[in-house]
Amino acid sequence: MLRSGPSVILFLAWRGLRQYGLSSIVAAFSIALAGGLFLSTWKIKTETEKAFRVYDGGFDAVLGVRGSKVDLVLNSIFHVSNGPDKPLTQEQYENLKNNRAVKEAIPLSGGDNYKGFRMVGTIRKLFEDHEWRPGRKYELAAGELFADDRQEAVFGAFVARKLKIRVGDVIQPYHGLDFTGEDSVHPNDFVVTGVLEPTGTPADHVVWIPIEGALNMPGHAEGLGFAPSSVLIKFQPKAKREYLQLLYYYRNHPELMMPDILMTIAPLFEKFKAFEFALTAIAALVALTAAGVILATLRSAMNEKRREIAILRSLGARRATVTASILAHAGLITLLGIIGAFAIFAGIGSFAADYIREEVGVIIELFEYDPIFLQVSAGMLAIGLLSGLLPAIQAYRSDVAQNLTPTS
Amino acid sequence: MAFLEIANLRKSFPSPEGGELPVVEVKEFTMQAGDQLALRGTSGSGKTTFLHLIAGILKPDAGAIHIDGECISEFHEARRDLMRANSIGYVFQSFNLLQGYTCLENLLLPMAFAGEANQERAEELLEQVGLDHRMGHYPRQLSIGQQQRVAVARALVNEPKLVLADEPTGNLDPSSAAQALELLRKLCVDTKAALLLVSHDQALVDSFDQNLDWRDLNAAFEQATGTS
Repeated sequence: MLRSGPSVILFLAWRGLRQYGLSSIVAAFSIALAGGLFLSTWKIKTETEKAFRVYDGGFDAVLGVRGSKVDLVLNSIFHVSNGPDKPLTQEQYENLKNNRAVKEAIPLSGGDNYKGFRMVGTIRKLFEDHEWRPGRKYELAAGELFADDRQEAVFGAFVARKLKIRVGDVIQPYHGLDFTGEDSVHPNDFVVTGVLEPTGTPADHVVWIPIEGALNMPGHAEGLGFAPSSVLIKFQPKAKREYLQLLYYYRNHPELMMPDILMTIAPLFEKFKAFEFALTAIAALVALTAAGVILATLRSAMNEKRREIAILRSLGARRATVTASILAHAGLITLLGIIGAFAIFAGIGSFAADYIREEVGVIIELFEYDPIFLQVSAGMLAIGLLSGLLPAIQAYRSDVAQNLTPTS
Repeated sequence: MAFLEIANLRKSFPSPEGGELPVVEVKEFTMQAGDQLALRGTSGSGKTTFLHLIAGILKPDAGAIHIDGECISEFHEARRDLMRANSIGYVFQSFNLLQGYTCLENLLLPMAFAGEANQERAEELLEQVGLDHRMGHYPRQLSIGQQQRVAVARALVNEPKLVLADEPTGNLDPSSAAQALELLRKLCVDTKAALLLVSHDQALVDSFDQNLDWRDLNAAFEQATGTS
């Protein structure tokens, strides 16, 4: 029911939106673009950073030969990037494993792939005892774990689903970390014994095989014996003194290094600062343009609306009513823009989240409530209403008598 | 006390040459409730300004306007707006229908400004003016005569005590003009509204039992029109 007050103001604003449909939509789209770009940039950056910064696979550090710490951590934890140039020796592994500061030492060995997914050699202990998150161990969705002395494989949930792998299938690995074609195949068979439950971690993207199997495939350097490329370490929480001694030992070791996982990943995101700044600047520019478009839309509408405002006033509309209707028109444009911004964010965000999950296996939670959603909405509304302020003032000052019929 | 009582009313506008140009100077003017009175005057002689002053669209420089015992010239703007919505209907020469709104909405809006829109009443009135089949049409989809009928219905939708008509037939052909005038006068009688009509058309003004020459009423007539 149309009545004096907000309902008639909204009715007038809605009619304004319809009368100036095309320009209103262009203005709303500009706002949507600005808000959507800003939200996408911000959320993808912060959530990716959060996901990478907090994910350590349940380990504290990685041991490898001296080289790039970032590569070592990315390779061992996220199963991306290249691994170390040289493997560790069995003696180096044993020394670490037997240290009193070390609770868990899980050896890894990589270098091959199965149709683009990395095959990583390890030991059963990773699945039997290790908690990748406090209270969470890897679990099998089907089959059983590989035997440490056989050529068997356990598939991460994502790879199994993607490649439609079932327990009992026989696969042949391919040389190298990337799949380059069928001619790079290893001519030896691995039997799939199990498929892991999904964890939402990079482990879902890996084909796990016994480390003995990985090291003894034909074509690999022979005579190395047990030579993992890196070792994932979980420290004994109570052995502080031994931990510090171990830290000191590897810090000064000429051949080996033992970077802390989270401390190594954190600075990585500093490199994205410039990119982030550029995107934020673009979003700010688009927001300014959007404000300009609203202003231009309403101002040009005002030139045509002078008569209409005068007629409304002659019918008894209060000055405040017509002024508020212009502001409400700007508000409605902005509201449409805000809805559009979230739609754009949902589109870009879903694509980015899928891409990151497929490429790295890290799940980023883009759509959980974040105060930035309210802040951006409020910011957009403020920009929209500010843009409507000048035309609203024009409406307020509009001379009724002058804009009605010519005097006789 | 008369229904409409005006005393010592004066309104001037800034002159292009500087100074003030008196447009309306009415010493005394009265109308009783339900009266129908026509004022004849030439273009540019201040008739519209006179109606704007009575409607509260303009504020007089001096003088008092009493409508139904209330001195509207002392009202602040928001109260004048409310008074206009509730008590005054206005019919313009160029109809002044809201182009982006349907015929029905053109009637609903003034009702909303007065408090609350009553769709039944608006539909009933459009039916009375013979436009019940055009309620959802926009003004541009109507003939000129039909547009003026919508304007008449709109002026009466809030059952005002006073209807002001400014050259209401000026844009119509003689046949449509006669019909529109008859309709306006009949609806005013039906709703017991007083009608004050201004026109330059001598025949139209003469058709009213009560009629006046604006020149006799407005002391500023000569200055406003530039005649001597």
